[in-house]
Amino acid sequence: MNAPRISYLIPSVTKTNFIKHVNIGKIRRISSSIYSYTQPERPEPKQTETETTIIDNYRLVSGIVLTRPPQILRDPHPFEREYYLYQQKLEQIHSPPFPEDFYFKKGSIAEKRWKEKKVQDKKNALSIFSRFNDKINTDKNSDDIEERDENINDDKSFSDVEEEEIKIASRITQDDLNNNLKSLNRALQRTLYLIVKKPRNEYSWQFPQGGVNLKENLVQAAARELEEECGNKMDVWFVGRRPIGYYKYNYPRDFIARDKNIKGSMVFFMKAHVFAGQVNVDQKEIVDFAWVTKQEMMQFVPEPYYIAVKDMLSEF
Amino acid sequence: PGRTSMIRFEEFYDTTLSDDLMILSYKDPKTEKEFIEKRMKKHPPLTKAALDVDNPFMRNRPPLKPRGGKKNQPIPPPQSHKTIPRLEEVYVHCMIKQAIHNKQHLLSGIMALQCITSERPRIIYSKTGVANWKLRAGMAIGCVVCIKGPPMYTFIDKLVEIVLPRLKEWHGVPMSSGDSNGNISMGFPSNALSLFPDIEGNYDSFPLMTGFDVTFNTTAYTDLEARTLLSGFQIPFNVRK
Repeated sequence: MNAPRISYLIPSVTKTNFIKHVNIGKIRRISSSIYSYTQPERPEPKQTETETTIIDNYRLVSGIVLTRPPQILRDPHPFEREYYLYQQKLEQIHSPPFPEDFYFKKGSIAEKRWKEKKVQDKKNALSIFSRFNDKINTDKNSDDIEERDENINDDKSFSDVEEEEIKIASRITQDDLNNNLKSLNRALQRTLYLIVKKPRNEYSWQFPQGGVNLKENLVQAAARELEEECGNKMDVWFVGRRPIGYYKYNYPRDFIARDKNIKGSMVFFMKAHVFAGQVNVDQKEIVDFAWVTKQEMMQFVPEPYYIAVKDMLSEF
Repeated sequence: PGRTSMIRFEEFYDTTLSDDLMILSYKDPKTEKEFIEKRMKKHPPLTKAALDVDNPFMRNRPPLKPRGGKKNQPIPPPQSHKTIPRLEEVYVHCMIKQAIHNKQHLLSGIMALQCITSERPRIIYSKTGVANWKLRAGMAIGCVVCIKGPPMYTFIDKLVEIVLPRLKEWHGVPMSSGDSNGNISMGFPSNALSLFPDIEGNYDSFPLMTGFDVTFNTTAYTDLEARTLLSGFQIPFNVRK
């Protein structure tokens, strides 16, 4: 996967310095003056297990695509709705006669209730053939096709209609109406992805990511980085040990690299599911977070990043 | 006719499960090659005559197959988004021993299977006789029903939501289950039948409660992939052993 390189605005460095940097071929040592003009140098990390893996002068980074899968069925397309309605009518018309003697004992209460229901249905019989059966809808008191089907199945399985009216929660939650991007209880039909805001001005929003140490694999690094950045208050499951995406980028000119040889990072994204919990912002590694759908992510994340990342995200 | 509603489990498979399965069942080219070669190894080699290309008798004829009637393990196709393991069909089968002395006992099993699966089962006749059980060849001894598509998903839905949680002393599908070609089977005791809502409603209509077994046929090529697929549908496996 050839990810596009980020082209950053060249900072106000003297022209000679800049040319020196670009024209020399494969430079291993870059003069410190180019990197140290904006901020003081960072301290050297410990040379133990916390040493980041570097491959071909690129820092190996493990990113986490933390997803909250859809919680409810998607809304059917209007054509789908019509099709299902039509098929239901056909089924009602063409179904074999119902074996009442098998299912109901003679003289039982269930039989009596069933006979009453049959009389009711006969009254509504004509509306089966009408295009907009409002009557049937209001009788069964349902908005959803699935609910209506449940009711039809209920008749066949003879569950008591009077006991325990099942209350179905609304499909659009309060967080949907308030557009609360931090809530996991939003956009129940869609997949939500976690993006975090790093404490910098440009290119701040991204998936949580962090360097892979020498003695750990991608998933272990991902789990560790997620805990470091987002806290340990989330119940997370990683989908296998294989990455789902790859993104290689060069550091901007004004970024202080710990090791001067490192050109940039290559990120391997690991997919994970979140079951419960919430992100804990500690203001150190991340400043803000949001649970967004694939389309909403475009407003947060820079364009080259989105182009590199969009193909591994689900459409649903 | 056609479908009357959206199928919950199928939508779940399409939106989330298939993506995860693609990641979990992916083999890098080296591993894939090794797996295919391992399967090919067990296939008997072609005879000299079959390999001979210049043989004038084989001109314009389909190539000779290897000798022997042994069925070989299928060789999986090169992996792609189309080869993600998927549930194909489910067979629900019950053998009713009491049908040996009284054929009417079969009816109970047939009606039960029909109520559970909403499809008409077909009767199985014994192929051989067993003298100890007074069984003769050709006797009606059991019934089986194959369900695909919407009825299959509704059946699994009922199993996972209602029946399996209520089973007593059941620790999950055994890990040894599986025919190494991606099909998993599980058996149920006779009290499991009464847990189905279709049968719970009119329990008295079924004089004889029998146990039954369920076979999940998937498009997976290994046991592990089939188990992963079924686990995705929330069917628990007994991991203890």
